[in-house]
Amino acid sequence: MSYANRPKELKRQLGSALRTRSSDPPFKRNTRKAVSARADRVAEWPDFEERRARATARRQEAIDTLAELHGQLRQHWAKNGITVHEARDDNEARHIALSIVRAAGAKRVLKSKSMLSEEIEINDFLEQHGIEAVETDLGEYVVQLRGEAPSHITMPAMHLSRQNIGRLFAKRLGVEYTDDPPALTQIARRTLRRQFLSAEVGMIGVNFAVAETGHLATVTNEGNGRMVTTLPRVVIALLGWERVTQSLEDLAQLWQLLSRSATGQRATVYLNLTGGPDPEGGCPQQVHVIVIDNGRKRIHADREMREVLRCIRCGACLNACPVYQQVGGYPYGDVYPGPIGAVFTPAREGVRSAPDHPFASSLCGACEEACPVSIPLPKLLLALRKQRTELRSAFDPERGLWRSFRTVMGSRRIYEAATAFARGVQFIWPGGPKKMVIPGWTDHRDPPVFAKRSFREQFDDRNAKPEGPENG
Amino acid sequence: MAATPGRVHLFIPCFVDQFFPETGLATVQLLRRQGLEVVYEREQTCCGQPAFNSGFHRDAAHLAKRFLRLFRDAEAVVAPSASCVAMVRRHYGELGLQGEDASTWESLRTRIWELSEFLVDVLGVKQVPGAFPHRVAYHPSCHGLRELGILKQPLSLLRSMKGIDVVELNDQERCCGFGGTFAAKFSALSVAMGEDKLEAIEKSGASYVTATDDSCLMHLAGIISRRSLPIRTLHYARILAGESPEP
Repeated sequence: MSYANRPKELKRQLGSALRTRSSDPPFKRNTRKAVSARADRVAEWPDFEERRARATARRQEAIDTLAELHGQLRQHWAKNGITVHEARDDNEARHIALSIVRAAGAKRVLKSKSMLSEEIEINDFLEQHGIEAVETDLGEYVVQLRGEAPSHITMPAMHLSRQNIGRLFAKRLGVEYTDDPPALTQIARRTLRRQFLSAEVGMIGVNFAVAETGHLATVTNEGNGRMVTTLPRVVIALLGWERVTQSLEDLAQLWQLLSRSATGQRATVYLNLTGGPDPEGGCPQQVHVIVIDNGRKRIHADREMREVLRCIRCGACLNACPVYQQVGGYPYGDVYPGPIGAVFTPAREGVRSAPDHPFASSLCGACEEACPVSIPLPKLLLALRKQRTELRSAFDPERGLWRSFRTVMGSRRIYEAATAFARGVQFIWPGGPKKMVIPGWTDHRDPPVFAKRSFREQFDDRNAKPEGPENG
Repeated sequence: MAATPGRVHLFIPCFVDQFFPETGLATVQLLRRQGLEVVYEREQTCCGQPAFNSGFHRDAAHLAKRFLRLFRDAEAVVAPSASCVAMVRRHYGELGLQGEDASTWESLRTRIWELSEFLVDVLGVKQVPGAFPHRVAYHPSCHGLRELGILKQPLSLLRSMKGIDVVELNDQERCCGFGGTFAAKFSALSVAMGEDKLEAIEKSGASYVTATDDSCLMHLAGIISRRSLPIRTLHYARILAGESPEP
C-alpha cells in the first residue's frame, strides 16, 4: 500500500465509500463501542478536566522546548549506548533502516505496531529489497495478511468484523474457520511465536522518548512490543521528532490518558521501556533510534498549526468524528485518517496535497471535545481552509461565488432583490417549489421553501412604525 | 446575571428571515411576553459565517464589520440561532478586526445571546405558559452545545410546558450532518449523517424534532420530505410561543 501513489481525493473517495459500504459497517459499530468505553473511563475520574488541562500544558511545553529536550535525549542515548540517526523525510528514514538491517545481515524484520512506520511506508520498501517485514500486533497482522493499510491509528482492523477475520485466517493460514475472538487470537499467536524465536531485527514505534532518562516507551496490549525489543539482536526504534516527553512522571500521566482515550482501558497491558543495549551482552546488542522529521519541523515553524504536534495518537478523535463513523479510515487516503489526519496531513505536506481534507468536516467539535490534549481541531481545520482559499487564483469560481455573497449580503437592498428573484424562480419552478434544484443540496434532500413573505415584511406589518415598536 | 435590559435588538439571520419567518415572529412574541421592547434593525442581513467557514476571511470580515456597525449601540442582541451567535461571539475575533471594529466586537460579544440563553440565564425565566401535548426530540445543535454551552436552557423551558414529553436521543450529541456549506459540498455524507439522526428520532417515538437552529432542522426536514418520514421539524421558539401544530 503506497500513500504516495494514492491520490488524496477525499471528496471522490467519500462518495464511493458511501456507495459501497455494507448496511451495517463494522467501523460504525466499533467507533460507537470505543466512544462509550472512553466515556466510562473518563467518568471514573472526577478530576478528568484538570488532568487533561495539565497534560495539554505539559505537551505544549514539550513542543515549545523540543530542541532542549532532544539535547537531553542525545546525552542519555550516548551514555546508554543507543545509536542516533536523523531522517529529514520518509525516504531518508527508509534508507537508514535498510542499511541497519543489511549491516545486521538480516532477512526478516519483526515489527510491533507503529504508525510512523506506516508513514514512511517501510514494509513495501524492505520487501522490495528482499527483506520480509512481519507485523506482530494482531490488528496489524490481520491488515497485513489482507494486503491493506491500517484504517485506524490505534485499531488497525477496526473496519473488519470477526467473521471477516475468521474467513481470512481460514484462507491464508489454512486453519479451520472460527469467528471466536479468543480462538482467533490464539491462532495468530501460534503463528507469530515461531517468527519471534528466529528474529534478527526488531522494529518499534516510540510512543514517547523520555528526556529525563532517555527511555524509549512503547505502549502495547499484546506483549509483542516486549518480544520485539528483547529477542532480536538489533532493535530499530522509529521516533517522530515531536514525540518527546519531559520525565517519567509525565510519561505516567500521558500513558493513562492515552489508554483511557484510545481503548477505554485504565492502562494498557504493557508499557515497554527500552533503555539501550543489554550491558551484559544479551539481546538486544544494538539499539538504533531514527528521529524522523518528515514535515514536523514545518508544522513547528507555524505558530498556529503547532498545537497539532501535541497529539499522542490515541485515536479518540477518529472514534468521536461523525464523518469517520460513516466511512472509516480509507477514504482519507493517508496513514492518519479522521480529524487528526485531516489536520496533520495537509499541515505536514502542505494543503495542496490534501485540498479536500480541511473541508470534509461539519465543524461539529466532537473531536476537540474528545482530545486528551485539547487540540483545537476545528480551529485548525478553519485555518487550513483559509490557507487553501489563499491558494486559489483570482479567477477561481469559488472566489467569485463568495465575492457575490459578500455583495448580496453587504446591502439590504441587493439582498432584497436577490431573494425576491430566487423566491420568484422557486415559485414558478416546474413541478413546484419542492422540485427546485439547488446544486449539492437537492441531490439527496428536498430544498427549503421561501416563505411567501420574509420576517422583515411581516414584522413591518405588525408594527406601525417600521423602525421598531415604540408604540407597542 | 447581567442587568436586565429593557430593550432588545433582534438579530434574525438571513435564512430565518427568508425561510423561517415564524421562528422570528415567535422570538418577538417570547421577548414581548417578558415586557421587553423589541427592536428590529431593518438593514441586517448575514453575520458572515458561511464565508468564514469556507475560508474566505476577507469577505467574512466585510460582513462582520457591517454587522458590528449595525448593532454597536444595542443594549442587547438576541437571535434564535446558536450558530450565528457563536460566529459573532467567538469567531469574529479570528477575522483580524482592527481599531474601532475590534473594540466594538469586544463589547458586543458580551451583549449578544441566543434566545434561550437570554430567557433563562439573563431574565431568569423558569416557566412558559401553554401546552404542547406531543413527544418532542431535542437535538442539541453542535455550535449551541459546544461553542455556547447551551443544553439545559431550552430543555428547561420546553419541559415547563403542559403535556409535552421531551425525550433525549440516543447519541444526542452527535452532529446531524448539516455543517453549513459542508451540507452541499459533501451532500451524500451530510445526508448519511442526517439519516442516522433521523433513525434515532424515529426510535425515540417522537413526532417532532426541535433545536436551537433552523439550519439543522432545514437539513433534516429536507431528508424527511424526500423520504416522507412521519416526523416534523419545529424550532423550539415556535413551540414555546404556542404555535399550534398543523392537524
